[in-house]
Amino acid sequence: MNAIILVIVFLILLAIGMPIAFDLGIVTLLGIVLLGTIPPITVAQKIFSSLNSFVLLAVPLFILAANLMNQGKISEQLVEVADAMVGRFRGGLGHANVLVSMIFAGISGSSQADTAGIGKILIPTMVDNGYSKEEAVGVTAASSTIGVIIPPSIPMVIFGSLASVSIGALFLCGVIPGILIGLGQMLVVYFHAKKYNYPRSSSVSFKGMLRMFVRYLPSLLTPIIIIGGVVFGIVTPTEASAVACVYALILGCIVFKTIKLRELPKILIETMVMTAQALFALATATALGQLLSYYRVSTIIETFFLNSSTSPNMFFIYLIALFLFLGTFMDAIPAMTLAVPVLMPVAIGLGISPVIFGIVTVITLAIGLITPPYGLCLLIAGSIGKLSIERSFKAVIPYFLVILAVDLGVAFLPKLFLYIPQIIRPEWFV
Amino acid sequence: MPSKCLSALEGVYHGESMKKVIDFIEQVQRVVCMICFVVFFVCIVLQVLTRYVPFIKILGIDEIATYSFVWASLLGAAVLIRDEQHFAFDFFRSRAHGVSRLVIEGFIYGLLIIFSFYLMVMGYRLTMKFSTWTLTSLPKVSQAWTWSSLLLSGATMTLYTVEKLVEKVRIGLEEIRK
Repeated sequence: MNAIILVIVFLILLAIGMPIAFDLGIVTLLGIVLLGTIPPITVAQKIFSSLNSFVLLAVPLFILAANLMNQGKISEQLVEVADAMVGRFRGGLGHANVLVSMIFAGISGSSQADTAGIGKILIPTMVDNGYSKEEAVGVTAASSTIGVIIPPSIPMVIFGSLASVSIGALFLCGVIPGILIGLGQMLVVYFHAKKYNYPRSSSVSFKGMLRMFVRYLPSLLTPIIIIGGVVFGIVTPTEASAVACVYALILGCIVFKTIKLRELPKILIETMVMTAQALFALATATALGQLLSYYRVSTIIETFFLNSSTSPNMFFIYLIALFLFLGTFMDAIPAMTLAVPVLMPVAIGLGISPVIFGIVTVITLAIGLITPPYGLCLLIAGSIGKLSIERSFKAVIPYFLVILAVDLGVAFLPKLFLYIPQIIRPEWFV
Repeated sequence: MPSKCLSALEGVYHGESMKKVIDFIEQVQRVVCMICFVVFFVCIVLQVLTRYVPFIKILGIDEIATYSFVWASLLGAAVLIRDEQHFAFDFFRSRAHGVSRLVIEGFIYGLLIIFSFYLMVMGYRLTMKFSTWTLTSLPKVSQAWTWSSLLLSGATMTLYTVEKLVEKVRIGLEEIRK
């Protein structure tokens, strides 16, 4: 009975506009009070202790790196390079949009930073070049989901810390699905470009492209430094995030002189806002996770998954359905905090690789970034392009299907996606 | 009746000195947040250096970084209340007008005050409870320094939510009066 009351209270508060982080906290507190056997101080203690994690430090630092890249006009350089590479094809700006998201994904761990940074440049440019608003918003929002799939990735850091899985292994395994999603989305752009006769954007000669590569080499090296640093064990993910910030600062302040020192407080405040939004929700969601364990919800979900998931494939179908549902109204961090600790033992029981479980979780929750009502990338891109949520969502559907197809591919053909990572770092997959 | 309430609330809200005090607290909180952010950033950079540059050894750098981060996150969460920047669905809230809007806002901020006050009280208790404990790698530093972030966050959240409640009720009553 108590559980039903809590669910109803949670939904009512959510619907009337209670901030999600506080909704989770209030419901947890109410649940503890209703139980009557646990002291209420537990909730506050859990909120504090969930933030007390060294791994989580990577979250604000990856956000800071992305904000520095955006403020330092490094995103603009990446757009220029991407356009030079693929602009010669019909629908060039659409292809460039996907390609730049893939490059940016190698720098930033946050899709929202990608949508905001790249969207501000490319959405107006695409509309000015004859693309429909739907196309511009759709491709921008959908391609920015790659931001959390190609490493570094904030959700992977969170998953790794929740499930005690090597973050380096998750980063390594995210590369191939991320590239496949990017290529699949370029295919959608190609068909749209043929159907709606979208123009080519630029045709830079090979020599010109080479010159551009040399000029922007320091920016283009960023993803290699970050991913390489983690994959080859030179730095931990948290340290890689700090290295990314230092590198972005050097590029912005010294090499390209695009960031002035007086702009730094503004960048820091912007980063703090994004960090506190995500992490306070994570803290209260962790407290809720503890409440769920008191109510034995974990056991109920575990029993359901154990009884109905007779094979890894069935498990993944239920898992994808669950996270697609949670992702529509919840951020990836609280969604993972709620479900991952519960489902991890079931996955292990079924012989599923924890890394594949993590990658499927992250990709599915990335889809949540473009599904209403709480699709942050969709909302940001829609607001830049001044397009309603309904029209924005209609525009992302083809791209959404591409992400889902790759997600199912990873779930059903895990060996294929583990093959190369296992060759590179076999010790991470023992 | 609404006009009487309104004039009473205007007295509270337009008390310029009150607003100035809250503005000042918020500014201080933002600066502290930024300092904590810079501290943990520097700590992590130093940690990378300690691994690759010989003779650099700094004790307790992990703990300093983590606790600065906790401070930045909790104080930042409080500032976001005043800025109304926490994630929320505003589908019904933004479409509601007049009395229904006033009831919704009043209910939301009423609950937020209770929860913030709870965090403040529990933050105080936890600070007291752990005041005799010390950090693992810095045995001279009391854990009260770390737990007090919860107390401070809860206290400022309470302050901001009370201010917001007064503001929302004033706006709601003004709308009803029109």
